[in-house]
Amino acid sequence: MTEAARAADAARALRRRTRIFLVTAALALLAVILFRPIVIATSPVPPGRRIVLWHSQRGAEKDALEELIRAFNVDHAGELYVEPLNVPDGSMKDKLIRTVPRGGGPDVFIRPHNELGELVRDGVPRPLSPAALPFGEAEYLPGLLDGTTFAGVRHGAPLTYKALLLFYNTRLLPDGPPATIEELIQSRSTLPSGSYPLAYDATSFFFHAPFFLAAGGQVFAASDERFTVFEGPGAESFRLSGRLRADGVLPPEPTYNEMLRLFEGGQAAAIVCGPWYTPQGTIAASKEWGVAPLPSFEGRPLGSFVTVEAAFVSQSTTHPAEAEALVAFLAGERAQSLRFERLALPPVQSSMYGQGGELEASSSTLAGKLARAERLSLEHGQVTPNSTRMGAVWRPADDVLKASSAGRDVDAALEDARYALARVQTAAPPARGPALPGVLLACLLLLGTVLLVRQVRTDMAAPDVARSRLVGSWGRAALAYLAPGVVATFVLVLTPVVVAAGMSMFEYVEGRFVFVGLDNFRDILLPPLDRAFEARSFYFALGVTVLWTLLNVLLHLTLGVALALLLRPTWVRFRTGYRILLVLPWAIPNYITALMWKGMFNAQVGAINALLSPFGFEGFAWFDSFGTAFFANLVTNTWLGFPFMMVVTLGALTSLPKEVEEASILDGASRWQRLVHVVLPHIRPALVPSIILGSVWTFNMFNVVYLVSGGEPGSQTDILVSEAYRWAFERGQRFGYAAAYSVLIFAFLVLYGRMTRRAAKEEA
Amino acid sequence: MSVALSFEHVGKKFGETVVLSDVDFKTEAGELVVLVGPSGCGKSTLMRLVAGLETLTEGVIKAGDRVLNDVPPQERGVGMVFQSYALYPHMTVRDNLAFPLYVRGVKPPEREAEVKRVADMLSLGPLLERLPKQLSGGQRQRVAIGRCLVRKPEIYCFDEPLSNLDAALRSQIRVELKALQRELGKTTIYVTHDQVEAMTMADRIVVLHQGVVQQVGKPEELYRHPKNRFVARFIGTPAMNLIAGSVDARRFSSGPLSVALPADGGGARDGTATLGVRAEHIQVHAEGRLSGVVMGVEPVGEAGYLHLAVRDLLFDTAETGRSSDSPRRGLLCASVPGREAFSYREGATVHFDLAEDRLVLFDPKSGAALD
Repeated sequence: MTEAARAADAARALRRRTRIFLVTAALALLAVILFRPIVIATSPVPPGRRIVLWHSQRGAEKDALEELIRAFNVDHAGELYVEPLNVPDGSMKDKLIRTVPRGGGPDVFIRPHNELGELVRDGVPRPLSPAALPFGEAEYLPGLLDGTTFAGVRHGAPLTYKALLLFYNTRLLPDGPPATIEELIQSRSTLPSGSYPLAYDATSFFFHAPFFLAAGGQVFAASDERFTVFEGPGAESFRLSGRLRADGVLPPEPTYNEMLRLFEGGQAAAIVCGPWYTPQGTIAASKEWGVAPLPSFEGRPLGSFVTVEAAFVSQSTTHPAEAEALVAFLAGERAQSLRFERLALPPVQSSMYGQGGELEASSSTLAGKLARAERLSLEHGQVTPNSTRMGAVWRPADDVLKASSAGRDVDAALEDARYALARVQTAAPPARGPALPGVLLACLLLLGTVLLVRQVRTDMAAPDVARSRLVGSWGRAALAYLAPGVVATFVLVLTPVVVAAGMSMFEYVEGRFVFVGLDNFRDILLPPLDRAFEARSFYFALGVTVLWTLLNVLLHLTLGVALALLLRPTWVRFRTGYRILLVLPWAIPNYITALMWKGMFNAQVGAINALLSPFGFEGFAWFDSFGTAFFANLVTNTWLGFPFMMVVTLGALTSLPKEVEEASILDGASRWQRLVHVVLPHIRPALVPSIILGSVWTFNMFNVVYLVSGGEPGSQTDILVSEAYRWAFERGQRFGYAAAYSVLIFAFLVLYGRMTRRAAKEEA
Repeated sequence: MSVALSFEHVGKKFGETVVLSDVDFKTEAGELVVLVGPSGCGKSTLMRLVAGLETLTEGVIKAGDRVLNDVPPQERGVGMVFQSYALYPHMTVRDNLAFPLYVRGVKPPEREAEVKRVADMLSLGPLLERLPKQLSGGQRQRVAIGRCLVRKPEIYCFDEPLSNLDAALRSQIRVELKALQRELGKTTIYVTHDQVEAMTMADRIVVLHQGVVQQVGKPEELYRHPKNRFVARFIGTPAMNLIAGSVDARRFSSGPLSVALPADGGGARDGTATLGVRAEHIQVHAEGRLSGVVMGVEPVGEAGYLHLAVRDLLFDTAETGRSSDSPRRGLLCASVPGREAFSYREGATVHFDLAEDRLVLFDPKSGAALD
């Protein structure tokens, strides 16, 4: 066989092998793609019409629901069958809003009632015909139906409800549950030290609501939906948490987790919590706990905000009658009994609770006690308002409560909260004719493009660039290699910037984007003068951000360079060890680090206070004042940031010629003189770009600020980027406003980049 | 006032590697001592020991009566010019020169005066505001020397100062450096691998090889009376011819060559020996008793070198870098006056004699000079 023939044979064999490989790969891919459709197509489909049900139940609730569905399917075999789909709780609302208005989504869905306002606004639920309600309106516990009604139209059928009640420690309160809060406060004298009469989440408006409602507070004015949450008697009730904490009735850090920790450790006589909670820990082991209705306060009985779990029919259903039949079943008597017996969920019919009602028999069981306590809570409280504007209330109210618990000025906090709400309350800027701002924008864009083209032209004409211009086949090949990078940059970097810039000229009102021109920028940059330099204003945040960046970069630099100089002699020997130690802060995702540090700064159980307790730091609340909260953020970010400077410095130091240093030694320079005159000038060119980079990263360090101090106190430690986040997602969905914020941040950093470009060029 | 340096049994080890062993010699005050040897022989290390940039593992170095072993480098009164000049890259020439004074707290007026003096001495005037990267190699070297001078040290150390310069500049600066040293009159240690520099500049030469001092002495001494084969071949251009042969009854013979050894020659014993003869001691003339064939002609200017193949003449190959130690055939290098060199042709037969009073005998095994 000749050489040529052998080579040809080998080539043939290779081609065949490649073909086989490609075919196999294609078949495998096809199998993967077609797997699910085939399975679905070939699985047996029950006869009859299909009703799709979306829910977010888990565990025992999910089992109970599926049992009910099975029963329903059996009852309607041949005509209908229900196909349940479990959707994660956090994404259910978004999924509904995205799919139902477009004709997709489920036929029936189960959701808590407080989202109803937003869902109706986005056209998700279908009004319920009276046939869908299994019981007459009068049979329902008063107030429950209010939850499933919006703008006078009923949309859902209540399945069950959840209200707050009292969990109490039977050992600390041997005489049984207290009837009044005052009784509970008095028990303070009989309690062992380190225990608290009452622990509830006094920093959350939801848990404070019983006191708010009892004082006569109202979230919305009955007549015109104006916010009245910070007016009148309701506003006064906010001072209560501060008073109770100062009197030692509440623990120093009255938060949700603290409350559970104290109760489970037997250190809280009573806590306010919901029926979802089952005590764990020592108190569970010793079984020394019980449930009771909320006591009364200042002569008035306490009730809470109540959440109603309801079933709704969606607008996109093609079988409304069948869907309503399912809703009626799920809300009906059989389901109610099953829920109560299996899951201790209170039923919705008032007849169950009275004399001769079913609950009487089970009044001594836990389920019975829960149900009774919750019913009383509902009676004295109210269903959480389902208005679309309710979402704006929580955060400001929480802030006032935090201020009160921390002993800060409640009046100032109330003023702050009113202002925050006012910003939500003001009608969004009126839609503007696109004429003037549109023209302005077009001019700016044109100018920007012209400048850019001019700049590119000058750069291209530079002598070294001219040689490497992309021409001919080399050029085409080069373009091909560049293309993925260019596309990625375009999609991931350029497009969001342009979209955000565009969004900054709109405002999100009632589910739609409305053009408002440059009004967002005007609101940000020209706020009312008395508010211009306080927390939550642009200038305050700018000041905090600049201070944050300056201090951080300074600390990173000093610490990094100092450590690099210290480590230099031993660098070569222990190189591997140092590298591992240095990479660790970077290897751990920085949000985990932030959470770790937040835990270390915890007032009660944090490591920092434990270490510093000899100096009187026991129980020191780091996040209660601006200085200390800022300090906590600073410490965390410095821990994260100095390794970068250190490594850059060490790298630069290795390139320092030994002979220059030796010459300076012989010249008689002291260590300090050597550092200043020989070492530092040498590492400066390496440090300048790192400083510029580091300052830009720090300027936008969202994770640390958001997770460690959380902007406490009262948004004072928020930097520009976390402020932008809050405007978008925590203060009433002001997306356009937040986009304007990000455009300003971008502009600021571009300016900074230009200013420092000269400095960086000098070093190059 | 200058001091004499003395090295007493100085040794240096890096871990297990012995870099210098038993270095022992004294210098005179004010003389220029050249440390010379091939790469890796330890000359730079020895100089750094003097400067204090390395510490001794054995022995004592003294400046006059003062023991330098534990004295920190900045207090030794040593000024060093590095091979790479080690100028401070971000400082102007003026600041470079002023730096040693600045760090010692000398006031600006005195600093200015001193800088001016040194700049004038080294013709650095027009360069004072430039940065090192704007200077040529020669200019940088002058700045490095100047920086040394401002401190008025007791001992100067030069680490291969000419190796970064081109050949023409090298010979010019050689002369200038020697003149400068004469003017300063301080003890100077000068390290180089170039034996020509050593021969031209040194008051005394210290030849080092693999960490061991081979010979210490004036250039003439090393040239005329090398103590061993290494020194014989290392010093002098062209290298000394080493002929392998045997001694018998006070005559050395190798092939056609046979010479009588001087009557007072002590150490020569019967047996194998190596004869060393320099190129200029081979006289080429028509009446020579020996003959050889010209294999190569090198007219280098004032002299010319003929490479002769002499039948049956064997050469000692130690110190030539070849692995085999046994004598082999080679070429004898003879020098002739320059103007005559052009008239010799390859392949021609020439006659020559050896100047019998200028021969050196070596022991072929130890390499040491005999008698």
